[in-house]
Amino acid sequence: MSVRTAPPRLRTGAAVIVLMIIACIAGPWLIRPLPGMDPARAALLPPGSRVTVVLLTDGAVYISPRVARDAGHIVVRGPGERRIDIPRGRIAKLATHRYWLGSDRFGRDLLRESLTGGRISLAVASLALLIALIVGGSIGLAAATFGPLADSLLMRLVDAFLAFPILFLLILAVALFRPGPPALILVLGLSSWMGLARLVRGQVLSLRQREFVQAARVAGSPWWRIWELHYAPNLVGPVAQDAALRLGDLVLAEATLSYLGLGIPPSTPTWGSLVAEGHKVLLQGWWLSTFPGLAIASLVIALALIGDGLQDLARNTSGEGETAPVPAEPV
Amino acid sequence: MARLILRRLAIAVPLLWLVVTLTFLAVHAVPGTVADLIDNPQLGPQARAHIEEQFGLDRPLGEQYVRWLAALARGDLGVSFLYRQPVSRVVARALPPTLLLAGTALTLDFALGILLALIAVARPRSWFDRICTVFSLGLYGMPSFWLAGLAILFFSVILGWLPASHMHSVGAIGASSSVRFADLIRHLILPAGVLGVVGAAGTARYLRAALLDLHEAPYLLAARARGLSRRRVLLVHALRPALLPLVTLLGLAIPFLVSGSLVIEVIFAWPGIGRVLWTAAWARDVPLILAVTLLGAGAVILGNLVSDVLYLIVDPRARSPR
Repeated sequence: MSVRTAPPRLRTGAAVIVLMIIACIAGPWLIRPLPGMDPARAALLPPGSRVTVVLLTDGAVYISPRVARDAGHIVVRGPGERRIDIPRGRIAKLATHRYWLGSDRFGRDLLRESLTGGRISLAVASLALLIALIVGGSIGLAAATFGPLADSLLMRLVDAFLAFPILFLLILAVALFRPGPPALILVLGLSSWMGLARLVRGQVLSLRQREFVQAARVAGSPWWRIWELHYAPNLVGPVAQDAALRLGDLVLAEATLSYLGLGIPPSTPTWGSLVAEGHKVLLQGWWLSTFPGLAIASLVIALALIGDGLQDLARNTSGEGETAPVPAEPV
Repeated sequence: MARLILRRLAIAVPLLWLVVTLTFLAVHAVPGTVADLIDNPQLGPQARAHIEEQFGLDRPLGEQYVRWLAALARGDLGVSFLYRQPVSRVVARALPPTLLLAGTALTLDFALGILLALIAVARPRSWFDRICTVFSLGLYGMPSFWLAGLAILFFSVILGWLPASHMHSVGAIGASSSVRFADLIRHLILPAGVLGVVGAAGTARYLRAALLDLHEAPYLLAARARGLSRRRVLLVHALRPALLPLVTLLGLAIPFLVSGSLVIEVIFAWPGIGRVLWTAAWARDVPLILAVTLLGAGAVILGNLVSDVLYLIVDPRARSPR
């Protein structure tokens, strides 16, 4: 499959995800707070605001939203809208910062905070997905391979995990570890592998009955060859589709937990905790909860597009229809 | 089918036991007890010991566990540390609000979800289908807590139409029953609306995919070839088999009805099970946490059973022996 022949939904989703990952990695590194900036002077600025910092040769600092440039000097708006004229010669440094998404109540740039938070949200969700893939994959495989006794035991284990309210796992994690990224990753991962285990088990069991696998067996292919040629390629599609949607669910779950203050400690920004912070000052700064929320929504939508696109792909190549996965239970 | 139900119910007992035992261990693994929550710096070690003794927390863990299980076997869930009332009473008081909120939300969820999917599938790839698909995809990605914040900002703060929290207004307590009912409905609209709309997006996506899969099915081609109207083909011939996957969703709905949505109940200060669990978890209210966990796990097991049984009823193919 080349990029050209990929279903449009898959392409769109993948493009959004790649852009978001690049922005989250590079963004906080590119957008830096101004030197000499007093954060208190830039609190709760609406999106698009500009702040100029004027450093004088004698060490004094002026921070002003508006700076007028004249021929020989510049005009700064001081406290109480007082005009201050500064001759050009006295200026050591003049730097302007634009708050594209506004600033929070501590004067931090929301764009930078959101991109930093995105790093953590993306990392937590991806690592949790990795745990879910490893645990779910191996349990599904073991259930399908090691005979009926192992199968029924492992599937009852899946049932037991499905019966746990998610909050139980949370309390457990908060109890055993200090709350923070490792605990959160573990909780999210350990509460979302069950669907994958069922999927892998079901796929392997049904593939085993197919003619091409039986033919390969009769022909005496070693097991690893059958895996490499027949099982693995046929597992990749459904697992990838499931993983894309599950990653979206994990992003939402992490955001919800962080929103509730159960996830990452509030000192570290994540999308969920940024929305929670924004809700505290909803009236003074609508942008603070709006943009991180939009970031979550676009990521989840992009992942849903990838999942749908992968399904289109499977339908086009195999001719078999698969129903959409069950939407996640509300937390 | 009776054998399936009996077997599942037999498995349910050890499963529930496993769930509550692990929860018990987890809650006690948390350092600190309910005494830490009584926020008084003058609380000396003696007073602490007194509080812990009062709640039986000074006993060995094994004894606490056996006592709790023995009481449970008699149907006694214990006394809540936080509310100083029998746990059964606290849960019984929180259950109706959750049933009301979750029930309303689910009705909206299914009604809107089925409607959106039907409209979208009636003319696939049409303008309307595209709008519906984009709309449901957009809602699907939105975190419910975020949408709740926007709804509060817009409808409560800017427009001032609807209350932002709680189930009743203070002024409505002594009022006539019709006024109180109208007050309750006004409080219900925002939380139920947010939950219902977010849920409907998932339901619509799911159902639309299921209906589109059927679109090319031979028996639908045959129905269309016989000259049946588009509407009849969709509503009678396609919808019925496509509702099969909805049975799975209904199974998931049962636990949701009982345990509710924690986030939405916390945001809207809705006095339901989700909020009780939330406060109980923060207060280390062990008997209450265990009771709510038991309730939740029981609902999940029941939900799975109901959806499996319904599946057997509606889909004859599933009845064939394995």
